[in-house]
Amino acid sequence: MKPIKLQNYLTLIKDDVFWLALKNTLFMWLGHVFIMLILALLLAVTLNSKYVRMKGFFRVVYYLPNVTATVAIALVFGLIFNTDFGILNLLLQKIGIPTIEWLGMDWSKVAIILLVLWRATGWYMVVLLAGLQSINPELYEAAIVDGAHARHLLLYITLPMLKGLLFFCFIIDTIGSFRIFTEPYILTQGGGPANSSLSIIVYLFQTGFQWMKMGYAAALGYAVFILIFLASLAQVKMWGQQTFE
Amino acid sequence: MKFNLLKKRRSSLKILATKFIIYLILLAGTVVALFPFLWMASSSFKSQAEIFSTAIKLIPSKISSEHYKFAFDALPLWRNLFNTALVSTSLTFLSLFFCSLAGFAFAKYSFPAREPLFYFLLATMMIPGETGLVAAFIVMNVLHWVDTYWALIIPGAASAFGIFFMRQYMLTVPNDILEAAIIDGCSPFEVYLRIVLPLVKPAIAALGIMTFMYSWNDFLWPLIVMRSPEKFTLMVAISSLVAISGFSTPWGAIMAGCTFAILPLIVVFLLFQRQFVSGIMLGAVKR
Repeated sequence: MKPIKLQNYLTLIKDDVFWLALKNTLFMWLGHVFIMLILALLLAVTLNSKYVRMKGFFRVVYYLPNVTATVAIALVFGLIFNTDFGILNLLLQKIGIPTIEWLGMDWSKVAIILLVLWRATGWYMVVLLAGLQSINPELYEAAIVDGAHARHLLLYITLPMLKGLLFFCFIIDTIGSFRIFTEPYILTQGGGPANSSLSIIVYLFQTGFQWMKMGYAAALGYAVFILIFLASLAQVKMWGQQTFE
Repeated sequence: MKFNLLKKRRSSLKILATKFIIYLILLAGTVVALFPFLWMASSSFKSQAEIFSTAIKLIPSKISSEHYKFAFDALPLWRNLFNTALVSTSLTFLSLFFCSLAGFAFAKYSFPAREPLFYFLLATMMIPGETGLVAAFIVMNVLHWVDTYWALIIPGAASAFGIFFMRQYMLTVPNDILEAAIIDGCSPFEVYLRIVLPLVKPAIAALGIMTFMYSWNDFLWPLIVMRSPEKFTLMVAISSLVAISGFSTPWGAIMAGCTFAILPLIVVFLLFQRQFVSGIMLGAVKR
């Protein structure tokens, strides 16, 4: 055996499939993270309202998708997203939207984003709800006495108080998104048509354990680590500074 | 009191409208969250023809158990369930034992190189598991653990996150209690077992549930290290249903398998949901 030095990493930089996988991964991350945090915040604020009864029931219901296995859920979504007899297309037809090939080349990433949104939003909602409940109610009472409206309360009390927690959620979700595997692997059977939903970890799995190029797969593993490290660093630099001080 | 007065001044109509919007949002969320589960269970009982029909029906016109029969004939699903239960349970107990023990040492003892070791531990938490995937597989191969339960249990038997989590919680245990116990003649292990463990029960419950769920739902690692169908975990087994019949995807059988795989976890979740939720809060808000 002869050491090949940095050969795997040089191949990696010139590997179009790697860059495609990276692009797909970034697309699937950016496609859901902001929508998900806004949805989670909306649900948490709504659920935290003093008018809501059966808070426990709603919390359990929203958290349920997160408890269940991704493998099983991805299989179920495969049926729901089916082009010809999937319930989603049937429902869309009812309101006049033409058939969408959800698991085809153009839409497979969107299908995965929808699956991620469905699965993860509840978890972030529970986290944000815990944050909301730890805000001192006297802040709100004082503001209301001073004549503040609901939107003022949200903008000037709730959001600033939750800033740290939202940042935490953003980082956790970013790290998770770079590691996405089960959703594309199951829902689009590997990387999807023409690798349209190939994620980095799916590519790592294929090279290392289907094509048995373990050295190259290990290099991909380090690439994932470096990407997550850089992304976390950038985020801490960007908005972490004020949050942690 | 001023607060109450203001509340009364708002017209009851406005409150009614607010309530309406709130419940509309919550109800829409509930439908979206629950629908896939209902659709899965419903499809698993539909006849083959009804699954492929374009009529939207939540309740099957005729309950059929053919898909369950097909799934259970094609795969040793009970054995797979046993595998998953065995692996998840042993992993959880081992992980709780080692993580709480190490967490206790980091929180309450001073020993040479404690700080560097702790920072090293924190640093490993930054590294995603997938980075070491190939290396971990090679280690399993060298140990001849590929396709054995050991490969599923031992690598996860202690985690950096678990140790960190337990240490943070154990820092809150007052030293006086521990010193009193030592004066009363407790050995260090007895202090851990009789004094510390009962005091950190909420953290143990939270970490236990997190570990158990993670292990039950884990897919990539068992997919890599398990080879024979009767040793598959439930998740690997149901994922293999997709390709089992060759011609077309056996959707009914897949839905039957998914229902079978999801049901135990939903039951566990409903039984322990309080601990689940407090676990998230401990994990997220405390950090």
